Amino acid sequence: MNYTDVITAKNIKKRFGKFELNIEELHIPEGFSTALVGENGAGKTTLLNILGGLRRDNEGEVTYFKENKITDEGVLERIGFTGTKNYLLPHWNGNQVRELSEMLFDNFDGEKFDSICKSLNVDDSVFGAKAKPVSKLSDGNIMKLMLATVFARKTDLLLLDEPASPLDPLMRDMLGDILRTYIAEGNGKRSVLFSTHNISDMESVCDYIIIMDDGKILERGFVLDIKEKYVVVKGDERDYEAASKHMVSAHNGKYGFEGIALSEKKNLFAGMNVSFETPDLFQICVSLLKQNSKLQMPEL
Amino acid sequence: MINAIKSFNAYNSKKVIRLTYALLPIGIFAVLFVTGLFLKKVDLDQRNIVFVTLAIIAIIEAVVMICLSDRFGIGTILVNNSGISEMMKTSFEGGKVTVNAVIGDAIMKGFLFTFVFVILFFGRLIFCKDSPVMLIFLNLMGIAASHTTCSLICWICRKIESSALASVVHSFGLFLVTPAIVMYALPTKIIHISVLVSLTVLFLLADAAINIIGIRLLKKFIKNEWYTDAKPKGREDED
Repeated sequence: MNYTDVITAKNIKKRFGKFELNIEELHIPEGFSTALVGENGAGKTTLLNILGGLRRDNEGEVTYFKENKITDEGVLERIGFTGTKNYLLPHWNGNQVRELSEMLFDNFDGEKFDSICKSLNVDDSVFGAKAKPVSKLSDGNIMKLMLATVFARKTDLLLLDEPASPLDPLMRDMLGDILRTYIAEGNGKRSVLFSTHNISDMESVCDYIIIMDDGKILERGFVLDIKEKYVVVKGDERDYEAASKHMVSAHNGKYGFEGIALSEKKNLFAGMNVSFETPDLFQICVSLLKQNSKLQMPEL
Repeated sequence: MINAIKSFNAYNSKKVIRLTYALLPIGIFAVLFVTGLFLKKVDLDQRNIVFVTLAIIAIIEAVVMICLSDRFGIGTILVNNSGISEMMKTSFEGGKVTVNAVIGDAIMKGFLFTFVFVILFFGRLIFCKDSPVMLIFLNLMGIAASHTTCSLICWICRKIESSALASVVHSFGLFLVTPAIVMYALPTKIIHISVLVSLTVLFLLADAAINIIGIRLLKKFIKNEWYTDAKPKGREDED
């Protein structure tokens, strides 16, 4: 698929003790929604912070909208960012969030912000004369408030760190609709990059996916291509050993084994009692991440 | 500007801020007014002693309250990166807004001290019958001395994360306002106006230098530290 990059990054490195974020090349396609998936501690937030300009002490080069740097005038104005903590300070109230956004971003529309807050049903106790601080809000309401500050601006790129995590299913569904509308109204010029653990919920809004593990990119590509690249393999227990040699990951259970394999290796399963299915994104992500995961089933 | 300053005020500091910026001048005015009424029948010298003592208490109180409110407001802005919102960092204007908030804060402190000393001026003019010209210069020196004291204490404490150490700085920093207090305690007749003018100029120069150095340090901190300090969640062993 032909596309231009909204973000291009090369040789991004950042070390924290034993952990190292090491990304040789990163392309975020323009006009699409990209999901960043990985285990806790895989480096998603660090990468988003680097791309959002919150961290600038990394090695490597990041360019935005073809050839701009984050420090170039007007670049940050075109990027909407929401973090998981400290984006809104806990002692701020809704009025302050609105006033500060007006002060910090030329393209912030106060009336649109009010209207979005109303539509998203943000707890109105943080507004008005006796406005409560943001710290009194639930995580979901804080996220809705953060999203309102971002969607009330005219931006071309959204970087959202786990926007779906604190949201209820209804709001998560609406977030998908909002992101799809945002991209559709951009006529190919608006892009979204979000990290998520809610792969199934966010699959409908995901065009491109980057799977990260231990600071590195494990897999990337357009969702349709990735789904064609892998296949779910299910089979009898007796074929497990032979089949697992050709699979990316496999799990043997009471009723047989299941896992994923590269589609191009389908012919290697000839003679085995196996069936193939098209995987969903969740299956692909979990299978790929299981390869190197340190997670183990605890003895209960 | 006010909104930017307010945005730095920590959640638990609202009462301190209100006390500083609203109740303090009103309280000083009320105490002086009531005292003035009670002192109507007392002779001028005794009235002077009582009034000047109260004025000195008011000056020290003002400096203490304003420095304290700064601790809860701008706080440890030169060292504590986590006190800065990510929203501020993701804006091209974020650094500028922060520097402007600090400049605005210094101007606000100036207004507050002016307000306090204007009350003291009229109080002393009415009840102590001092020379208006001398009182003007005396109070100008008082404003300059108090603001300089505050600037020094605040900028030092903005670089200190430890509350205990900040308390020590607050305590000893108060001595800087001593010249203003001594001048206030002396009878205006024995003070030469040139001494007041010299002290005022000296304090203003010191004040300007302290704030310029402070703002340069802040700009350097924004440039070098703002975008490096945040620890990624779940990792304690950051290099």
